[in-house]
Amino acid sequence: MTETSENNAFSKGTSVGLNRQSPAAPSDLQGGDTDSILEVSHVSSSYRDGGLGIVSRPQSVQILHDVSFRIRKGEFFGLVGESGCGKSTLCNSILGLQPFSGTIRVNGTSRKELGRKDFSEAVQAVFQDPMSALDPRKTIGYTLREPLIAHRIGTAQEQHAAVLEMLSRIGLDASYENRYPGELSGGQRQRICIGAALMLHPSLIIADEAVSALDVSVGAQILNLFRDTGRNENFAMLFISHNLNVVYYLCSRIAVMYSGRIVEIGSADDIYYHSVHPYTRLLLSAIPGFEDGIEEEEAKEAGAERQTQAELHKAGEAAGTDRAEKAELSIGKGAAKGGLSGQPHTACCFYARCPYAAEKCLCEPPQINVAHEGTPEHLVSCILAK
Amino acid sequence: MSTIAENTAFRSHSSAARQSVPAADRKIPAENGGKTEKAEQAPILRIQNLTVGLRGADSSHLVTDHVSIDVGAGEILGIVGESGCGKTVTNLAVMDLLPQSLYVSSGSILFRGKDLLQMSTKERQQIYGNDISMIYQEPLTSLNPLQKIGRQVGESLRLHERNISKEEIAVRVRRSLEEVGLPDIDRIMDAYPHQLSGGQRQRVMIAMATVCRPDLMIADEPTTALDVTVQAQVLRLLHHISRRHGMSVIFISHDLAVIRQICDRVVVMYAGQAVESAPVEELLCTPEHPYTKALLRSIPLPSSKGADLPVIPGHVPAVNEKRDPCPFAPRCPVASALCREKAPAPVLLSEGHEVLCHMAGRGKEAADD
Repeated sequence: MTETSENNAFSKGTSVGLNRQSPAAPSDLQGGDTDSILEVSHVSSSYRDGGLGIVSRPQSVQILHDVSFRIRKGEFFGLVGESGCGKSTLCNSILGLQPFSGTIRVNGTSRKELGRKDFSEAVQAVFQDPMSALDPRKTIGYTLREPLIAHRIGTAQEQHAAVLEMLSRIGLDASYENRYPGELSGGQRQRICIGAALMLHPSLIIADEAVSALDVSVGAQILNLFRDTGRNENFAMLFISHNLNVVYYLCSRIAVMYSGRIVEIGSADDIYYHSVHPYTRLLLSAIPGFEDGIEEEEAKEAGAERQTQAELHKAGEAAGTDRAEKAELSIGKGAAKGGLSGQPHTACCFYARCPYAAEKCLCEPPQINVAHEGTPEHLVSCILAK
Repeated sequence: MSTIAENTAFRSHSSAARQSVPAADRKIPAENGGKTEKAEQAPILRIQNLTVGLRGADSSHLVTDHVSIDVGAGEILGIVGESGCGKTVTNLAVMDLLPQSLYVSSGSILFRGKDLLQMSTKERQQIYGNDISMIYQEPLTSLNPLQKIGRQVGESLRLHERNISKEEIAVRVRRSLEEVGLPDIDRIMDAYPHQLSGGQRQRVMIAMATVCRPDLMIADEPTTALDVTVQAQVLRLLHHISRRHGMSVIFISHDLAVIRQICDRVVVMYAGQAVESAPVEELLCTPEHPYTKALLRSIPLPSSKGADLPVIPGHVPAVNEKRDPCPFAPRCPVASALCREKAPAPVLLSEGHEVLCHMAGRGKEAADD
């Protein structure tokens, strides 16, 4: 099998081909029709590194490598990964803030076909830092009304009524209409950002690290608001975060990104409890939990490691792994690197950090496999999935 | 209500699992075995009734309000609270780094029995960097971009150790960098901060802070800017260094899960007051202050998927806002008229578990009825 056809198999699996392969599967997660709100297929993105004049030449650095997935109606879709893995680039590509190759369709039409105005009605975003997203010299009332003014929706009275309705929906009283962002707390500002994003009743909201900068108790309020929004309206959400706990709490499906590729995708429970890809496991093991302190962890690890190693050794033997013996699932050998210098392009992107990497991983990129039998929606790009 | 019950169940379960680990294993290895046991007897740092005010404002506007914190020798103490609750200000006061707009209006900070606030500048300079060091949230902003790593790490040695030879500095810098697990030390010593990754920079910061073998390190949100995988590495490293050298650590964080992982004891701060302090296990399993309880409930856990997260109504009072005698009273589900009339006094519930609440200890009676 050639490289290209393999790649096609991946994208088919995650996007279009899924339904054909498993007509019964979607009902497990969604219960009903599977027409998608967002379709991302074969998206690649790169930027031009200008170089340093005579020191180094300009070159092109690829950020996203053939990313494909889809988000269905009413779905909360989580995207996790470390910093620098391309989460935000993907988000910017979807919003049309970043050039890319491939196709991104919202409700079946691409941004080009829709035009900027209609597109912004369909897709809205909430970013990490609310203060930099709000205009400090405009009142909250105006900020919320601005989308309606820009799209010429309703008369002044209707717009005012809509603003008041939105304020009550995001849990603020009418007096906030005449306040300025500087007078509000971080959580209130983030509510305003969410309110402004909801004003046009978009079908997709992209939340890029929307709760990361907030305190725990405030973050809880925002998460509740997101959940309620999902209940009240027929829309979908792409929730980007590096905090797997928050993503698991909110989302029904999760994709894990590493080095510009989606390495594992599946339902929240699949990813959280039955993950296969070593990188997903690494992420999960790094979450500080309430279960164990570092001391017990180290004691326990010795036992648990032996077990996983035995397990993976078996899997490794099947796949021809020779390094499984010394494999250690201890946290991170080496740092996350975007470009893997000194490695052939055919190698698996996680090769450098993977404790189970085999010769085979260096020669050909991993195929996309169904992780476990019986869960056709849980796909993973790793030779360990068999 | 059901969520609350579930959450508590989850925690008590986890505590049961923890207790199965023999106590001896959990404590420090032989080197300084008895040290934490006796921590309470000889605190290395003792903050007493520290009150920090805002310059030019009404004297009732307090950034921290009679905060008392003891740090035992070899102990890792966590300080947790939301933004603006005074965790950082308290520690900046210890380091004598308060911004111009703030001043210490009363209280004392005893380091090994001597009051840092009464010392001359020269005496204090002997202590900072040598006996007490600090690491910050964003390593890139606290490293000098124009100096090589080797030089920056050695700086405090050059300042504090008289008659130290260049060779010895190099040896100690190297040892310190080795200890924090950095690879390829020759390259790192010759590198500039921008050439390192975020995790490596934070390790360099830790190496800088430990090169003089301080007795106390203040870590102000050292892992907040890092990825989870790197965070786990840095936490282990801090824990390891503290245990190996018997160094006390004040670990400031807003993340209770992180605190749970490495700390021995926790102080919860709210609106400038230390509202509850207890051994980490006890605090997470049997929190007594309503704020601690609410804070614990609002953390999304795997077990709470699908449920509404209980939120704390209202907001943290700003410094210039009028407060009730108990600042949490307006948001408190169990507040009574007493809470709005009289400031609560600290209540000692059990050894090492102190709560600043009128209702402390009454919860049990109510539950029994």
